[in-house]
Amino acid sequence: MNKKNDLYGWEKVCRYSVVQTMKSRTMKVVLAVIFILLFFSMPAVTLFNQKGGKTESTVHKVSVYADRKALQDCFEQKFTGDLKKYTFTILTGEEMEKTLQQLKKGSGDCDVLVEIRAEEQEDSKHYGVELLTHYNEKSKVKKKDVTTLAQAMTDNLKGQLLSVGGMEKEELQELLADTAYEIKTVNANGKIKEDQEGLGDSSYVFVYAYLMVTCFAALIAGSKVAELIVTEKTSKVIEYLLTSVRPLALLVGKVAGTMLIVFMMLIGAAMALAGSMLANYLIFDTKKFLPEALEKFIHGQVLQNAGFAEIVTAVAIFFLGMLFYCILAGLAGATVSKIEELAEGMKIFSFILLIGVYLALALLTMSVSSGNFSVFSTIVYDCPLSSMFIVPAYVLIGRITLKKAVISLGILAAFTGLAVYFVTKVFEHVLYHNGSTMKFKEILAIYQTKKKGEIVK
Amino acid sequence: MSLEVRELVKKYGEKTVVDHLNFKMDKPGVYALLGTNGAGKTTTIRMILGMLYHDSGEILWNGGNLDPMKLNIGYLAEERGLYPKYTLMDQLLYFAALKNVPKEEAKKRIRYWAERLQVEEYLYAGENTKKKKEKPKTADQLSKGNQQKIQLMAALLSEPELLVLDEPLSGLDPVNSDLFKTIIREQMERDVYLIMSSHQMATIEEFCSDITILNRGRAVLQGNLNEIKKSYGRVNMILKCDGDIDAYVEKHQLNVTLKTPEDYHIKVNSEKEAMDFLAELVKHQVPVVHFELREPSLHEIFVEKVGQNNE
Repeated sequence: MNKKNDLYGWEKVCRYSVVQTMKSRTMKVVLAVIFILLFFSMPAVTLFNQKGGKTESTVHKVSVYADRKALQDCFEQKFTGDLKKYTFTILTGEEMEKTLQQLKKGSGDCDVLVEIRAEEQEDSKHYGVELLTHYNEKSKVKKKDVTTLAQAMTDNLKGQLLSVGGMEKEELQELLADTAYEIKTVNANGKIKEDQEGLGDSSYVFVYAYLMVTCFAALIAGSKVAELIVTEKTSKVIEYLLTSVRPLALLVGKVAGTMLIVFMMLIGAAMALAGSMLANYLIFDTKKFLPEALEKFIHGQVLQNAGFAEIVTAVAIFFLGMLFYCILAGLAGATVSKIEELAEGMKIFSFILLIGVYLALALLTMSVSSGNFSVFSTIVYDCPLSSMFIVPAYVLIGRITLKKAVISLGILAAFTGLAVYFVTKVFEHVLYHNGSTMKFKEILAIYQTKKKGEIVK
Repeated sequence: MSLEVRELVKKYGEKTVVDHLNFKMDKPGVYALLGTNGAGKTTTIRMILGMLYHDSGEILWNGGNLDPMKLNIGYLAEERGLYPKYTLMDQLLYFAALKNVPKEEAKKRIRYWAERLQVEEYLYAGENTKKKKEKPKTADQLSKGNQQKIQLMAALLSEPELLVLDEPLSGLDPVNSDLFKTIIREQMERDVYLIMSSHQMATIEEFCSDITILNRGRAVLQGNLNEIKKSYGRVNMILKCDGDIDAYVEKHQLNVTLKTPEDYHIKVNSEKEAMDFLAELVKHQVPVVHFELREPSLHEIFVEKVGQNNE
């Protein structure tokens, strides 16, 4: 026999945990449902969009009146994009009044009358453009189709007005695109405080999705580790196992096995999504990997700042964070003796996890608007409970510097080390515990006793 | 090789559950730990197996500290345990792997023990039958007795040097009880060090050479079972006569422990007292059909020792 240390046999425990978990019918069903949903997600979104788009608009004939010649010029013969499907008629003032009356009576062949008015403000040089739509609510015309028309005309007008001003196409695209900007505030002492810009749509979606996935992963992994441990205690298998392996090897094996399962699930989910995008590309004529409805929110540009170092740091923080939470969950699972009491034993774990997730979520919500949240940001980045949920995503999108991420990683590593040390000291005693759920103060008492060396093995 | 427990103490708070326990096995055999419920038997076993910390004392194997991770130990726990939802074969292979038994060897041994313990139908469901699609059985589909057999298999798979059986026969029907006894005998022939805890005194008498009777954590009687019995002397007299002997019994002020229509069971203080009584009966021509003097049973010794200490 070659059994030398407290970790002997952990890899066998790990392998068994993985194989048995993957063999369970519940796991098979959950995985199948997740992968099927993910695989069909992109084509389904495209299909629904197309179905929505195929519904014929109730608006066909549109009459337009503009109170300024310049505005009228913008529309004449310049209907592009979505506006091409409508038949436009440019009206004079009199014709507009007549058409309005016809609409009220429900006569005439015009579906919608669009009135464009320049709106001058008395106390400034600025002016706006007001776009009024008139239609008969008793007619076949639906409000949503009128709204679609108004939105298309607004977008068209914005471009037309700028091009009238002599702008080139490229300049226009640049002007209309999302703009990055910095706001700096100088206080009375001349100290410059830098406000961070608000997160763009795609960055927000990326960070939010990462946060949700990580929260899900930590919750699933933690619950699984605790469940595996308490199952062995409840079924009394633990008595047999402990003649072959030390308690710490059981914990390490289960943590490693569960993390492996979660990583496999994430990789599988990513592959299902990639397959879904490929299917979307191959099935539809649009030849796009993403449905149009999602293109605005998801694009690869958010990760353009992510280099090798950023990716490694992000992965390391995610890995350590998972380890941190799984170890705490393992200890929580060992505090109970029956599977029915698991929920009670997991209270502290759930509470800690929620703190971490809510801190990250709060920072993400604040980040949508520009501003200076340096103190709160530092707390969230450096707190081991929350850093895993936001720092990897932030460093990948370039929201925080690599240096800040490395500091978070260092702090998380230190706390994970402390957690491992603490759990190593008390786990054996907690695992042998049989009875009502152990309280945290009892675990602390065990730790103090062990530290003093009062327990003889 | 030897197993020795020296001055072993275990406390839960202020309560001492094992109090300076000593015993030694200096050759292979079966050592019995006896005691009432809560006497400290299972706690002692758990300390030997390294599952519980002890407050003081030593547990030695070959003169050195016993490290359960380095010694090949087989254990059948009092509180039986198997994973309820995993297949039996998976569990046994896992247990064997933890004991460093190679997979192919483990499969052979599982096959052997499955046949011996008559549990092939659960381990090899669907094999050699028309029901090819029958799924392998999980532990929760087995009766308590069959689960016990699977656990005994787990304990024996590694061919242990030290075998610990905590209440091995509890809950078994007579047929399976005999099967377990046969296997225990085979293990004895293999020169295994076997520690057995049981409430079934007849079983202990059948297998064990040395015993310790525990009461409230303390050893109240220890030693070789035969010598213990000899020390009590042959004080159990069983007598069958044609005719009423109540008057003689009363005259000699004998302690009748059991009176049946067939015979009398009488506790005497010495062999001489029994022989005097027999002589009296013969003198008065009372026809004595059966006369037997024997040592006290372990059951009687146990009740006496534990009863005395609990009074």
